Amino acid sequence: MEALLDRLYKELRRTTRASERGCRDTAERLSAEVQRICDQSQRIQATGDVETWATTLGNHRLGQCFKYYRLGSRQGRVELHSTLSAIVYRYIAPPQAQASYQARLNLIDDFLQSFYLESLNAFRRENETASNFQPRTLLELAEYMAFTERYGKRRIPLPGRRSQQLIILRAQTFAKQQPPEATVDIEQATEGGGSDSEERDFLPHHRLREELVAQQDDLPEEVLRNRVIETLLSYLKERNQEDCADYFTLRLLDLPTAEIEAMLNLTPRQRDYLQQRFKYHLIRFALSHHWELVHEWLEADLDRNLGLTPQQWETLHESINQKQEKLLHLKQQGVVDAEIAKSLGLTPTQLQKQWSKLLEQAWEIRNL
Amino acid sequence: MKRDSDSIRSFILGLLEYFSWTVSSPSGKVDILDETLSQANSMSEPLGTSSSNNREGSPIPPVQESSSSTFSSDFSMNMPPLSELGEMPAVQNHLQTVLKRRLQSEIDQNPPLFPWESDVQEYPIDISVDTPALWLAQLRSLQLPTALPEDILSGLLNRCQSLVSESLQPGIQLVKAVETLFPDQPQAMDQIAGLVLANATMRDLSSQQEMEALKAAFPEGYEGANPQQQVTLAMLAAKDILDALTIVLTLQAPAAQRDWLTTEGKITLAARYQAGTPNQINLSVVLPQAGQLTLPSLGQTMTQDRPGTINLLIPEPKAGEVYPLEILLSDRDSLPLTFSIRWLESV
Repeated sequence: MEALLDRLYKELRRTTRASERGCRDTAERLSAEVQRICDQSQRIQATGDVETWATTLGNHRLGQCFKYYRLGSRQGRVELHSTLSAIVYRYIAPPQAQASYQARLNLIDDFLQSFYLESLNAFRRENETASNFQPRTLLELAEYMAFTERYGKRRIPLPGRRSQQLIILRAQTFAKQQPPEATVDIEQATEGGGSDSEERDFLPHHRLREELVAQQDDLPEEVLRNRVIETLLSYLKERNQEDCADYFTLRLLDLPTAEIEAMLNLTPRQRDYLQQRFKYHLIRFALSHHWELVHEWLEADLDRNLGLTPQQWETLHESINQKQEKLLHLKQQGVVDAEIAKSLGLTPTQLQKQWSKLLEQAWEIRNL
Repeated sequence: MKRDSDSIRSFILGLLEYFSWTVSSPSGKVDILDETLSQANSMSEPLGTSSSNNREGSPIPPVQESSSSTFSSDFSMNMPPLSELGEMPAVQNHLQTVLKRRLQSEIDQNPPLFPWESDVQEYPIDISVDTPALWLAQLRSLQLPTALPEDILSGLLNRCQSLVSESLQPGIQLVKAVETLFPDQPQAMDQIAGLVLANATMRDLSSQQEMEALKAAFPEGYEGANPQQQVTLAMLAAKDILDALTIVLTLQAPAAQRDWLTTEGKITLAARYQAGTPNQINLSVVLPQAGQLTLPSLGQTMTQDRPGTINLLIPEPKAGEVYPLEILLSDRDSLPLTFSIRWLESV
């Protein structure tokens, strides 16, 4: 651990212009925090490679610190405030039924004010600083801001193997306007748990798999669902439809239309237009570019006759022409597209369109 | 096919079903999919003539005034409560990116304050730890064209004390001594350091008269000087402080002495190299009151509870190595004053 402290100190000296003493103090606090996590985390102890962990965790903390140091006093706080606001946004709703964007922002500001105080106290307590410690230099401010971000993102264990970020729990409490006493238990969980969000992120894969297997009840379904959403989001981005992806995300959260418009800075008409554009891409995603994934998830893939009952399957066959029939047959045989196109005398684009058309027909029959 | 208890599934299904309905409705509404598919409707269509080839690149659909309102209601009808979807990592990450981007511009207009702040201000790179007036007494008598403010002197003394233990080129040492005081002047630093060093020998010889002339150049003192002049003044002071704190012994000059004035009286440090087997450096420090000497690199500490002389020894000094010597006066709860002693066999 001496080595870690020394390395952190040297890095701080090299990268910042803070004084020797300032670097020393920060390095000591960071390395003590890392030490504490390594000591308390059974998962880390179980890996048998505590040193590597300490290095990784130390580097992570340094990186965060440097980020805020480089941004400086003003931009640093804009960064921190917007990061945290974005995390708690969904959880802080104004009491009025008609939640407006601006009303929410004001509430979030109020909430974060109290959160900054909490994290300052946590900083003092955990680092055993003077009880009136406050950041006075740029490095100390950067250290505080990085700490606050980490503190907010700490994962607090909940019943049933779940966990939640500390700042979200606080936001929920805030939203319910519960008395602060209700948070005491969480506080204790924070102290003893040693469960840092990043620790989870860095966990070796085999550990992660164990965790996943432990909750396998709903697993395959959720994995597939996540994949659909992730694929759709990246599909939209690949096509430079970033705003469609934004829109989709906000829609998923069931936010009121007016709020979505405010958040995306759109007029109702522009939002309408965006919605149209999103629909267009969604159709192409589901019936063309990623039809396989979507149909697998819908349990309507080719092996399951596109999710049709035997009778519906009949109906489909009756309603399509010979060429489409052949196309469907070849697809079910698992013949690759290039060969199907060749044997049907189609260009790849034409084949794609025919196939979409066919899926579309199956869709209609299924939903009759 | 699974019936959806899953809300995201119904969301997408809802959307897609809506489209199926539009496409197959006889109302004559034109829809993108309808349009796209009708392009490929005839299997015998000649290759390459389809205008839809361009569609891939520019898929801007026509806005449908009439259908959008219908759609909105259908949309929400088909959408069950989705709040739990926010827990999905992909959605959460994307949402946070969207929100953050949006929020940043507003927060930038009105940045938040932290609990201890009353306004948004720049934080200093460094704060001068309160160097007690005890050690600063010496610096009041520096031979400078104009006096430096207390906080500058105190900052310089702190920096110089930590620099004397490092083996640095004199120029770099000077730059490092003052750079934290002038974060905005990095480009001028090297040049001024060169001038200060070149001037150092001359200054020793400069007459009282010349000093008077220099003083006249700063009618408004340090505060009225331009940034480069301020850097120069600070470096001149740093040079003097470094010289006072550093003792280099050689075969040609095996003995040296330094005085340092404190508010409690003068400290005198004498160092003498003694050749022989083994060789050694004898240190003799006269303290104006009770105090303590430490050679941290050797782990040696000597304490004395009355004014007077303390003797210390550096056995078999390595050539080129820096030996810091820390001096504390005992009834002062303050940081030590650190000298550095170095032995070089020859210059």
